[in-house]
Amino acid sequence: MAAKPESAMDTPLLLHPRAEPGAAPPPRAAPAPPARTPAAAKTTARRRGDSLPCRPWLEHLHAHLAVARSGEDPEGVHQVRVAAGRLDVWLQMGRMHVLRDDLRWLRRQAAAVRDLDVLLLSGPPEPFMVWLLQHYGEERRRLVASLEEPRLDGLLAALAGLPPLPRASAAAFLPRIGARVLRRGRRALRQRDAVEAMHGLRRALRRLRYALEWLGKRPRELKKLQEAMGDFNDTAVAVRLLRSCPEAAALAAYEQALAQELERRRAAALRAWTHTVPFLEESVHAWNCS
Amino acid sequence: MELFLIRHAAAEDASPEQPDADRALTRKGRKRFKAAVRGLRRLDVRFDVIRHSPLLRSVQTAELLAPLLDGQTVVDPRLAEAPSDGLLAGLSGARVALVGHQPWLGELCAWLTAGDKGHGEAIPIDKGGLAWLSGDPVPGQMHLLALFPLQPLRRMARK
Repeated sequence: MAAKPESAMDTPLLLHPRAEPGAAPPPRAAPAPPARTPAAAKTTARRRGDSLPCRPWLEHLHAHLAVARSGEDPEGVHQVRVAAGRLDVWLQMGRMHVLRDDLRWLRRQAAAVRDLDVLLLSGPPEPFMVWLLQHYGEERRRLVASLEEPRLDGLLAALAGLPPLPRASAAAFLPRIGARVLRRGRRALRQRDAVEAMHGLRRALRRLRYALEWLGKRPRELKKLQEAMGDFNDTAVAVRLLRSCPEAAALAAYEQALAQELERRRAAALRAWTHTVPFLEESVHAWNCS
Repeated sequence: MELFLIRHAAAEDASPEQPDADRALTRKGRKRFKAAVRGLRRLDVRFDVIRHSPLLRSVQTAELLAPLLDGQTVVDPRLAEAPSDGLLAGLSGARVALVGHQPWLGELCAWLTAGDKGHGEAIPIDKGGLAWLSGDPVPGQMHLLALFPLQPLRRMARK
């Protein structure tokens, strides 16, 4: 599909112009730029608008790796995963294959600690909490060790060297990501009992939202749906971990409450999905036509 | 293990204004290496893993090799320095491509085949060319099966 200029991105009016995301990193103090003539400044601004550098989220990743290593704030691990996910989508929009496996590796390294962080903050019953805390220590040691691997240094260095993406070319990838979300949604509705189908939809949605945010759009409709999917996922993780806990037999009431909560959240997520489908179909159609 | 030591394709010349790590492949280098990849495909070469250095010209070369990949890519900063035990310890898979730079690929080739890094300069690996080794990735334990400059690989693509 031919790449389209700015106007292509302005067509889907359903999407809201984006203020910088709350999770975006604070801008680093940059050296003062050399004085420019107004014409030169205008050209530079136009060039910046036409390209998408990965630098903001690479700096975000750098900043939160330090927090993730120290363990002083669970947000550090979470933001490492967020930044890695956003950079992965950036590479995908640039039709790049390399470095995506490395970013997925980084997200996987941090996944277990993140799941445990979320579950511990929800206040599980004591025998489960004790087991989770033991598990947590092991997982944190494993994470910190993996953050010392040369692969991470290589990943950060390689990302720093990549040139910005042309905006129009990145935007031309949206229909493909949007169509995938619709496919995953249909599958989730068909396989209502399959947790994996819900995960597939959640991941596809997340990628679409990140792609749109790279392009300066803030789709509120997707964010709400993603929150509903995230709630479902949190409960699904709790159910999965409880099954691995040796004390599970003594926690039958908690297990039952979790199972009910999982069903309630699944229904809420699928309702949210059903409400969002027309918006998504219209958006994908607009991206295809633009 | 079959090990392919692949030197990055032709890149921009070094200049004082640009960090060495940011040198990109030239248009011609990219085009020629794409043809070489087609040549490798005709030889039924596939990779389980492509490990590459983090320097841009190596990242871009690894990207061009992606059509030959059945598994994962891994970025490894040890490919942008003299070969080390750590680099060898990280190698796994049946068909592995290492995308890197001279003189270190030559040194690695000499180390793996002759057990001595010192003769690396005697092994010519052109830009976009490769050395094809077989055996255990242990110093002195691999056999050099072929040295392919870029040109014959490109010619193979045309046949």
